[in-house]
Amino acid sequence: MATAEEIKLELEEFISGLAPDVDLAPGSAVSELVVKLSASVQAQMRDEIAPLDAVGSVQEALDSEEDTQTETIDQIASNYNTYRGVGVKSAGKIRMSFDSDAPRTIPEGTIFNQPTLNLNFITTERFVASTTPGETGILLFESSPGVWSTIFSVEAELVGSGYQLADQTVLVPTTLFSGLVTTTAYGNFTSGVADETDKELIGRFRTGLSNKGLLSPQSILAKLRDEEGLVVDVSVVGANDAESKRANNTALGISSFGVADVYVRSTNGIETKTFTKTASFSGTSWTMSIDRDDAPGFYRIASIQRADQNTSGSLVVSSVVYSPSVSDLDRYNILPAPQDVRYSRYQSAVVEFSDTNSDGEEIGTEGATGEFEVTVSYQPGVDTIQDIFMIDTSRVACADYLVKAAIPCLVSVENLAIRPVFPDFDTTELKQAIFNYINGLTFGDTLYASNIIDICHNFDIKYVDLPLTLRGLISPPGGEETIELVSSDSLAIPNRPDLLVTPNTTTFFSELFVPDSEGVTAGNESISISLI
Amino acid sequence: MPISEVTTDYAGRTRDINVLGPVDPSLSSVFVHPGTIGNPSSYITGVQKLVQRYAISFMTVLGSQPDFSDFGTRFSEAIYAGALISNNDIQHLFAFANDLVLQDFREYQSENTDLPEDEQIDTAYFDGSELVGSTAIIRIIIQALSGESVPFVLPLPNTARL
Repeated sequence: MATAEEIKLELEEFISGLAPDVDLAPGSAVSELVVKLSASVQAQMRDEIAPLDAVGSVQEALDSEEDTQTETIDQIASNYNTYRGVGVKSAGKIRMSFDSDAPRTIPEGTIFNQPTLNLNFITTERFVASTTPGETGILLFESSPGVWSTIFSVEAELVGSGYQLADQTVLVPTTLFSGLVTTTAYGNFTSGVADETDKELIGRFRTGLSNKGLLSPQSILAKLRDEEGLVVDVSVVGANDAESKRANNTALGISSFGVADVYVRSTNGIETKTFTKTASFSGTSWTMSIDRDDAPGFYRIASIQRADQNTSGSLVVSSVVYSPSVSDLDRYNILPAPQDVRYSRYQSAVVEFSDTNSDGEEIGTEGATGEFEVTVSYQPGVDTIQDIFMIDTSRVACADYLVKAAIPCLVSVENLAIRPVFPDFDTTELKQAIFNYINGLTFGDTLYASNIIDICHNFDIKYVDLPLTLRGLISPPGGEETIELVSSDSLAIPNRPDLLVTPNTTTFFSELFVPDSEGVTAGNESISISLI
Repeated sequence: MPISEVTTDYAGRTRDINVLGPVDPSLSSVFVHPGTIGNPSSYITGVQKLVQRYAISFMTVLGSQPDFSDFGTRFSEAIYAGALISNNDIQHLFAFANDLVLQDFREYQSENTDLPEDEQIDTAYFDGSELVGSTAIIRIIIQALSGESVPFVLPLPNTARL
């Protein structure tokens, strides 16, 4: 889209052709009174006309190379009772640490910047932290000797999925706080959603034209989007599909009809949830139960911490045993094998972990109990989506649909070396574009290095130095060891129906930072770009 | 804006519209012309055009044209703020504003090398400020690349109290 400055140059060229003796130098009366004003007016008019020009019809919106959000498409969509999804801001908690226990005030509107990615997060209310917070304040606690910390909420500056931070990501406040030691993300942030584009909205109202029932994958997706909002994708495996182990679980091993597994990607990114549980000490370790409703279908335990200490890091988890939990449920699915339970709303777990002092001795006495904060990664909505398949008003009475969170393949992009046109090239937007590309992939998609290179060339980049490395990590639901994928060309989900890992069940995710073996994520970016 | 001993051969020059008011070369003292719009105007060229361009650029408030936000200076803005201003304050403000205008003009001159020398600025400097009747004025001297030094005055808003 032409800027006023560009239009001014066009006008000057035009006027010079018509009247060569008119002076158009900066500060000349003609330039100030005629050319600049005209350029500003024309620029505004072009801005208003451009969207109409770009999108006169559904087909033009689909063909448009830019992501558009136009009123025309809104009006067409409203004819099908479908409305544009409003973006959601990513949100989460920040932990600030200070060198003294003096009370601190964090004003509303304080901005925290993630310097590597240049993302801003803002407080939406005023927080007063002290060691005696009362009912309105927040607690300032001694997190380690001589260091006092407080935890409060922030939200992203703008809507969009690129703002999802991982636990421990370093942030920097843009205003001065005396005695500040560190500021980090506390737990993963929720995944935001960008305003729905015309292409996405058209896709939805086309889906909306279809039956919204629970029979075909397309109609299931339509119904879930109607009832659960922006569900990203759905994959249904059923009779005669190799990965449908529940359907094959018959006396003769022959696939039976009426049994299907529904794999759901409810958000673009993986989210985290923190809750408090009571554990008991027995023998040499602590044991706790995670119930099916704590975080339905969660992926993994990100951390366990003592609730009363607010320390960083995690206690060491020695074992997690998953089992089905159907007690008190009026209606539930057939669950013949442990791998059918994993990532479903019926999943419960018994976790064994240890809490040792600096000498390596277990802290705890036989029969003691304690409160612990557990943080897990998960895809939200697995339980409510399962309910849609179970309630009388919507279920298919002759079928058994089991809802599961999509099996995650966590992707990292390594050795991406680029030669920018300008040496001060900022890689922030490029990282976000790649991040959005990976998290926008749906079931059955392959992740191509060439697409990442294409994305690079949308920016001011001369060339990309190859090869780059794509790495994917899959955690099969049966509890087997993880599957690692490495390639310089493309990543495709392997066809391992014996492990329930196939392109129909597994999809790619990217988090901004990859946790290392300690669960620490700061500085370990999943998309690493170097300038050459 | 009396100008004496300046070239008068303007054949083939580009012209601008005179918006700062007519010039009376016979005047020997400062005459502050109240700029008017709507009266019959005239064309200007040569060093007079250079002076007018300088005056417009100098007095335009930086950022007042949203689409061309780097055009203008902070001089008028500071004067309009209405603080009690001394001659030294004005000289200080002038130095920053003058630098912006000179940069802008020199950039344009480097891109348009066929300009006549008396339409190209070499430098401009502060020559004092004073009260003329009830109007405060600032004296500026512009030196063109052709060597001419043209003194002229710009009226300041009433908020300027010298």
